[in-house]
Amino acid sequence: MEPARTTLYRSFLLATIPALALLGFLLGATALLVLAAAWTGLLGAAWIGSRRALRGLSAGRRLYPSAFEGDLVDVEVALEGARRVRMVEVSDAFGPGLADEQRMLEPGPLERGFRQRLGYRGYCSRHWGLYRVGPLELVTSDPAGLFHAWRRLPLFDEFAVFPRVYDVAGLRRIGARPTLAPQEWSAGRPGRSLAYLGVRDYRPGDDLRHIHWPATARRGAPVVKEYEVDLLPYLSVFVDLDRRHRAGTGKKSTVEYVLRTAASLLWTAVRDGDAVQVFGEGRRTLFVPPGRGETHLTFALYELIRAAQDGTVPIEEAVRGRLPSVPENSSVAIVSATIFLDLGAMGAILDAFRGRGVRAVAVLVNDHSFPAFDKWPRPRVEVVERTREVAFFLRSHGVPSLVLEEADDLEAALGRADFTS
Amino acid sequence: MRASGASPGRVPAALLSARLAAVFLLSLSSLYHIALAWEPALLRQPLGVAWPPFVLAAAALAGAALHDRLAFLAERAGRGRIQMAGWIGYNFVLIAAILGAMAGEPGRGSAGFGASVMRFLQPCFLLLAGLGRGYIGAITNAFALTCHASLAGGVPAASAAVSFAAVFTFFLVVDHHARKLTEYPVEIPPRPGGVLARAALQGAGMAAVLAGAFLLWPPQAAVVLARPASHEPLTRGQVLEIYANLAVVALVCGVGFYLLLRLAVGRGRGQGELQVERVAARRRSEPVAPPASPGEGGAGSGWEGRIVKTYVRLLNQLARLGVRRRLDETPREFSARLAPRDAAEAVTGHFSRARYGPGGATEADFREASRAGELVLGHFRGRRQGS
Repeated sequence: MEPARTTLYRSFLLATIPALALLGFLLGATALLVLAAAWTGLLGAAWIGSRRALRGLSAGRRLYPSAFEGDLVDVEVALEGARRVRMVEVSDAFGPGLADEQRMLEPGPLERGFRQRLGYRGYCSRHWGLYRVGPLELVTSDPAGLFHAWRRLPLFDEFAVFPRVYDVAGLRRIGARPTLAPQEWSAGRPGRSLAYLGVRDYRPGDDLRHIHWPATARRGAPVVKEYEVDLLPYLSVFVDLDRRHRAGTGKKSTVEYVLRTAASLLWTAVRDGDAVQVFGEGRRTLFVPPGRGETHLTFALYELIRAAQDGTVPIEEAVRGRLPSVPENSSVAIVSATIFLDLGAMGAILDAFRGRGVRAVAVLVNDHSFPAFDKWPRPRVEVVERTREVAFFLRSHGVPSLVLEEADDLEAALGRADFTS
Repeated sequence: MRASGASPGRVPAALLSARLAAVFLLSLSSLYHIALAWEPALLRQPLGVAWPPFVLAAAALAGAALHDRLAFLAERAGRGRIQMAGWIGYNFVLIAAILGAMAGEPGRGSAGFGASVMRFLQPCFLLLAGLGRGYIGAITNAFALTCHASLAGGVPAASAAVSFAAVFTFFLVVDHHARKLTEYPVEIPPRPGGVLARAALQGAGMAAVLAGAFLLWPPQAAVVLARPASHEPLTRGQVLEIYANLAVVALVCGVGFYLLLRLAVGRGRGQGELQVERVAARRRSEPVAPPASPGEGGAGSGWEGRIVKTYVRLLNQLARLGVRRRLDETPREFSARLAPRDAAEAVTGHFSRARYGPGGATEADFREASRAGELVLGHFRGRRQGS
């Protein structure tokens, strides 16, 4: 069968009209002339009909503006017509998908005053990043399908495809700060959580509701109950966006590993109820203020996919500059794109962290395991030696670390990571 | 281009049937009108009226049945080459007919030859529709026959043009809907009745416009082409009779052809029903574990139950040979009295694991237990025969 938008029959009619007219004229056959006129009228009416159907037709699109790689996304297109229309084709360009166009058919009739909703499911098959959805195209035709009229509606939506994230099983609440708000997690220090800690003598100012009456009766002096302190798990992620650490291309590149690891850390932490914040010093500063919950995670991932490894600030300097932003007793994840860290500067930073009760973990992406494109690769022996050295250095500072190589399967490597030791 | 991941839509079978019926009617109309215009006497004979619908219906049905196979063959052999060769040959016929008509009396033979060939080609185009682009070949040939009939002027010319235009418009509307619904998956396709009614309305409108035009400008015969001298003009009553006959035949055949398609060919492929594709299944045989019986080896793979049954059968057969397990005797203690020792221990071990273990027995375990049981049984049978 011919395709939906075939021009076969229109071409047939267009070819026969001059032939009919010529033959009718030469042979004096009126029937042929009348038939030629009828065909011309039919084509004219079809041309007008196709355009008339398009007039007054409007459309809108509704979709959730983000998804993870490989997700299916529901997109809804609402059609509205000023007159009764049938057989309306709707084309939408879904940027994150591989297909150029998503085409649908509204068989109609599209009644005046009614809105018809059409939906399709787009598959996010492209790599993470920002994509465009749109424009929308409406195509109508005459009842015989001889002519098609189309209108392109400049309806564009920005769509964010987030990197597929992996569960970092080893990332537990390795640090937290006290809070007044009730939390699931608490520590054995006096606070206001619901977890019972013990009793102590009454002090002026203590809440009378906390008096332990049986103990008070036994001792003959007022005794109050004490509760543990509530803790808010708090994770700060530092992302290395130094352009000197760029290596590899596409899915096997340092920026891919760094950002995907950071996204996985954020996802795991937020899913556990942690508050997270993100810092990175690229050409454009990456900064996600502290926050919790799914909306905040979406914002953080959105900022991450807009980041590029184009900065000039070393990771040590970036961390040092943000030290005041890291709360006491919280946890920090440093995602570096190199193993050739400035150990002196890093040692000072880690000491500062330890002094404030901050627990740090480090994920180092070995940039020398990726194909280098803007620097000479270092000798393999030197890289291996450096990997051992930096691992020993971090361990000696009580910082659990994970070194990621180009050959590593990120999902498996992050799943195996144990930051609790 | 089809949208990614989209499966072809479900076309109401009524539309496909109506589309084919329209092509059939176009063909029938063109064959009748060429005869009506140039040899009306033929249509006064029953055979002259009867053969076109039968031949065309048979060709259309066979063409529809062979469509996919022919299309496949055409793809393999080069569809473009086949179409090109077909059109070149057909153009020769057309040119011969046109030049013959333009030459007037001297070219009558050529015009007549062209018309005969076109008449013969009409069922061929229907039959070989799969080789070309849909039914464009049959439509073109029907159109050429209609034009040829129109050269005769008068009522036959008008009726040829009117009927062709009406049926062709009907075909265009139905075909357009069928194409759209084939390409796009639609949850609720439009009702075929509504589409057919609209198509019929469009066709009737076209017919009315043309009929009105012919009333204003009656069709004249081609100036250069006169009717043969042997041609005996029919009386007005005879012409009316022929028209009445043809109208009834066309109506009956058209409706009959449509119903035939709907009831016989299109059965079970109506609106909302799934079209079933039969595919060759990949075959691979593998042993299937028997279902586990309650209390026989627990909820394992099913081989546990079979091992337990084997052991129980072994006990019964040993009892018939005089070796009975005492009620106070555990399976392990009983196995110590059996021989050969290894086989007895093996079958008892398999039984214990299957009956009291966590499960996970395999087909290999079952085979091993059976073999060990046979050895034990063979040993005692041999001893009995020896004694």
